[in-house]
Amino acid sequence: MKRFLLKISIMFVPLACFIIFIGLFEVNNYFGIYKERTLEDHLISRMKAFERDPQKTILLGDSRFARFTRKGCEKVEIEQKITNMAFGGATIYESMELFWWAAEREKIEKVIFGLSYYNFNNIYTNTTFARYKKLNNNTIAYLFSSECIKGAYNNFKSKAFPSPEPQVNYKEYADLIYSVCEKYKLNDDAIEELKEIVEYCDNNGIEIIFVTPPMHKSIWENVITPLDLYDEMEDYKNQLSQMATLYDFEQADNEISSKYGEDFTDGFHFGVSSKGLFEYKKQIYQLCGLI
Amino acid sequence: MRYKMLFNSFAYAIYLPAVFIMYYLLPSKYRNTMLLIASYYFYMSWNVKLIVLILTTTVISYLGAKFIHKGKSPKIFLLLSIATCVGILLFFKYFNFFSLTITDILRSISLPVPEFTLDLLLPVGISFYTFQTLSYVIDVYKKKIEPESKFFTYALYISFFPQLVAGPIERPENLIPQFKTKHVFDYEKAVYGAKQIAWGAFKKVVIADTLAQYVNLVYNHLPDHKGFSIILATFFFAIQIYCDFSGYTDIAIGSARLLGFDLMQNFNVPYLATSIKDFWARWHISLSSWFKDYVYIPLGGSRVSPWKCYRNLLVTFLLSGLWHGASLTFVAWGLYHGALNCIQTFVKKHFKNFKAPKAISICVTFCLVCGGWILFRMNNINDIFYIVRYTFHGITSPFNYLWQGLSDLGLAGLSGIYITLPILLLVVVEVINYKSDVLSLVKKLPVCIKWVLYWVLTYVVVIFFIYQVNLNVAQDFMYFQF
Repeated sequence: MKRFLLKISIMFVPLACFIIFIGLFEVNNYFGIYKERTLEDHLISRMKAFERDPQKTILLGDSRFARFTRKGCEKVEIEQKITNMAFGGATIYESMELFWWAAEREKIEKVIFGLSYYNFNNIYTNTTFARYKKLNNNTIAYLFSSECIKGAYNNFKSKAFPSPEPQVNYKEYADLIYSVCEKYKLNDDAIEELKEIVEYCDNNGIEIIFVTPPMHKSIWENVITPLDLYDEMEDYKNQLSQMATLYDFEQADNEISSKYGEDFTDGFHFGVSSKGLFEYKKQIYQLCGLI
Repeated sequence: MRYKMLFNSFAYAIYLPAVFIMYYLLPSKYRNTMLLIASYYFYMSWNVKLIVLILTTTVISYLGAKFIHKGKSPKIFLLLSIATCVGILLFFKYFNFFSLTITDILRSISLPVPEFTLDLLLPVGISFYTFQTLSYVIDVYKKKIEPESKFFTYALYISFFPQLVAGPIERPENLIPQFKTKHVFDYEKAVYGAKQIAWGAFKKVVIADTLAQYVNLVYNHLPDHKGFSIILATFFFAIQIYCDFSGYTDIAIGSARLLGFDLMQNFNVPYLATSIKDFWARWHISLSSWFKDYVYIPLGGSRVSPWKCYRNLLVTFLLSGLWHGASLTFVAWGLYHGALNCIQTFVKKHFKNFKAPKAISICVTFCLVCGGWILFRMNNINDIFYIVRYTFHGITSPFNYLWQGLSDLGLAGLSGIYITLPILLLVVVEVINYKSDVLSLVKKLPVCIKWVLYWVLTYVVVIFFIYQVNLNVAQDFMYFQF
């Protein structure tokens, strides 16, 4: 029987190697092996982090908010009591579905929702939430999903063959954003759905705060002004401010973007370890009464 | 219990090795008890309440056989046992079917009768284990076997997990003695069993579940399809049902082999049958032999006048059709095969010297069997009119006819090759199995080639399974619904 069991074990050597590889390089801390709540700002890692250690205050939004708790960004003590659920590439629908998912699990007290004119572009109607919810609930499906395997492979590659940081090119980035915003139309349906969230928060004693992010001047010069998106920006911000408290950093003369302009690595994002990012998030926490 | 113990599930992938290791670690005197507990656990993974039904059937048939053997009114106890066990089966499986059929008949003669159905759970495997209990009481009555003295051994015969939910329908004289012999670990048997499990999983996961998507595309949306796509879907269904059911059986037999048990062969290269009778000697052998021994022969078999012989064939196949499901499509399928058997009997009797070349016999038989599969697969008996009308639609332009059919199913490009390769592999294996045993032949290959083959087979199954689970297209075993 030992011979038989040995041969069966040999059959599963490739599977065992695969599982060990994933265990070593998996990026979403799916199995809670690592002390850091999340390693990557991906939707699955956010869901797992919230399940393991749900906090009463949550951040929602895209990569601009996601960076607040990235490795390399100076920590603020209050972040121990916040679950950052913002993730790179989040569409507004995904952020909203994530809110409902979190609200079902935990009695939330405060939601800080990062939104920008870019999120309200009508072309972003997709949501992959259902798929990630399934991966979150099904370990085997996750283990063999492209998200897990690609993430582990890229992590392995970056550690084995580190590549230099890409050079900043504000103009190229602005051109990319321009191409996306060329046919910009405000997503009124998303705003209506947001109203449902605000109503739920009002009825359940949850404080919801909207925050719009600062942008590098290259975006104002190469995207907003040429496409004349000022009316659309004013429109969505008016609607948000009527629903709930709005802290508006999305202005051409904003203090943070003026003072820390060189800390932007592209038109939208501050460098993870930059002073600009730290000051920006610190100001948000102060405004929201967290510090 | 959270996980249904399907053979193509991770739950079973954990369950089987656990049972296997426990079985050989335990002293012999505890093994049957362990198997019985494991088998009931296996069955309750579908629904805990099912244990009540199987235990009821087991106790009634066990006691019935005891009283039959005692000699006091054996016929009464036989009829009581049969009536109770079959009654339970009829109630749970056929109540709603007969109720609705009677309602339709009464309404067709303008009687305002309300519909009356019950919300009953269909106990998985009930058709299979009920037939095993019937085998047992009838064989005791006929004095073919002695009744089993130990209740737990008998209960294990009924509930033995590898064959519990979808056969093979084991005969008591084959399986019960195996529970009384001490099983020492047999390396060759275990290796063969493991290979059989892998091949069964390949047939189910890689072939059957992949083809199911194309079959469902056509048969679940018939009005959207005409012409060659119907023929292709029927051909795919023939392969699907064979791979699904024989795949399951291979996993069942392989699992039993790991534990040192030999279950009966259930399939013997059925699509290489040279006649309809030959097909039924090769397809679902445990069921067809059951119907032959307990229905056809007691009715008189072929040793009666020709008309009675035809009657016996039609009754046997009608019951076989009904056994598969409570639906007119299965009844039609059964009668179709009954009619074909009658025709063959007639031809054999009146044209004794007629003998077609083997290749033609095989092709004709396969086509006739596929005709039956159309009836079997239809969602509704009325679909037959559509299929008859539109299957050859456009055939006057043969190239367009074929190309349109392939395009309708998205098989005009690489997908066609992706589907063809596993089917070709299946055909090669079946042809080899016709004369030999491919799993035994694999043993003779050089070690490195053997291991590459094992790894490729196993990981193709794993990858396909994960892909199907991710896309939510993994199918249940088809015969679970019977």
